Amino acid sequence: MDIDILELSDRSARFILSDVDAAFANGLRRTMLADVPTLAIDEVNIYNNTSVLYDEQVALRLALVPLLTSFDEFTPHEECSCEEGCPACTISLTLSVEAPMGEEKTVYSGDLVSADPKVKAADSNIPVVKLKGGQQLVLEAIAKMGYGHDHAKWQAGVACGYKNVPVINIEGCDLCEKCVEACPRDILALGEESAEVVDDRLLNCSLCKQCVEACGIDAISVSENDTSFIFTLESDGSYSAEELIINAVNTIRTKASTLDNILGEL
Amino acid sequence: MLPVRCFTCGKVIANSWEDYKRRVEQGEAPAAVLDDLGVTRYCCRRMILAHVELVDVVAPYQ
Amino acid sequence: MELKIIEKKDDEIKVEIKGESHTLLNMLKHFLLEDEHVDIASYDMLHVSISEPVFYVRTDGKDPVQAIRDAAVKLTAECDEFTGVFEKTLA
Repeated sequence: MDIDILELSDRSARFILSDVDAAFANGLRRTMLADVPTLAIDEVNIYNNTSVLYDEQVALRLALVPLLTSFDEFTPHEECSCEEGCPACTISLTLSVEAPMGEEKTVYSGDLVSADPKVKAADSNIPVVKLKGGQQLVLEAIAKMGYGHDHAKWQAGVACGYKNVPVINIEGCDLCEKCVEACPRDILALGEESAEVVDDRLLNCSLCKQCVEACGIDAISVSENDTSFIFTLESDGSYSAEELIINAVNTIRTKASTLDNILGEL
Repeated sequence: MLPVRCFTCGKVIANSWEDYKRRVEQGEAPAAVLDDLGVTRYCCRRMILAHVELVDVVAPYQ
Repeated sequence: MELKIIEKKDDEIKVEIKGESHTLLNMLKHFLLEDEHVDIASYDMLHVSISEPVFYVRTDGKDPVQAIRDAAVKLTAECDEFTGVFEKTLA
């Protein structure tokens, strides 16, 4: 197995994962999207809501706000030994905003006050609702740890995907330049003896095979490497991109060892 | 109010709305503003481009 | 995760794996098929969103439960390798 990191920032990453099977690559992708637990607001007790949005709409908007999560400190609610929620699987946040008479005020995700300073909105500038003068929004929100396969609010990975590393072979080229013109992503250029792949642009190939079609003498072939994958992923903010990858692998590992343990007890 | 996340991919987009609105009103091209705000996928871009902001119209009648 | 054995013989097993999906099962199936003693390894979900998946393994005589355990161990090893390589690449 080999990993080559192309880009790694706080919220996004791009890397090449080689010498693995499609099954593992796809498992990793699916886990990042749906099986890494995060915190999200799940219950809202509304004390006063005189804003234009219905209580339910306010609750939905709050739920979709990503919360900074520490993976090891919380247990997913459905796996917790408690039934009604305890400090191990839930956390309470409060919000209280009132627009002064004759003035407008927007409620932002940053107005949520958390009981634990480590848990807070990942982005503090998400507008929840705009209040006109005199309108008020007072509520208590209970965040729970959950899984992306139950609701999109618990989805830690956004737009996670991979594609196979392209393999382009050129043999017996007659320098007609048709493939260079056909390529929509400018991957090919004319060299001295044959058309060549431009340095560093191979990974941009979308495997559209328009160059293969354009070539009159079948000199070019485009295929994919079955064991190398270009991963692209973004995090919603609840974890950094790096944490997301590590947490996803740990999640798979836990699943596999749980299965092993259960079967061992049979 | 603009939906908090993109319906398709789940990226948080609501925090781009105020910047987008202000900059477009100042005369910048919407496409350039969206690129600058990091809203690159077309699923997220349509959320903002196709949005009609109605809170100011409806809000007084609660 | 909860297992419910539907059918078990010396060389085959049919087991319902509650709460799991393609994520784990496809990887498990892949590692089982790498085992030369396994003839068939597959799973079925009658309905994508409401059914629990049923996993089926047939071997050439090897204990099918042991075969699944071996595959699970291989998967944990793969995960450990990933974490190791990833952390080394970052360092």
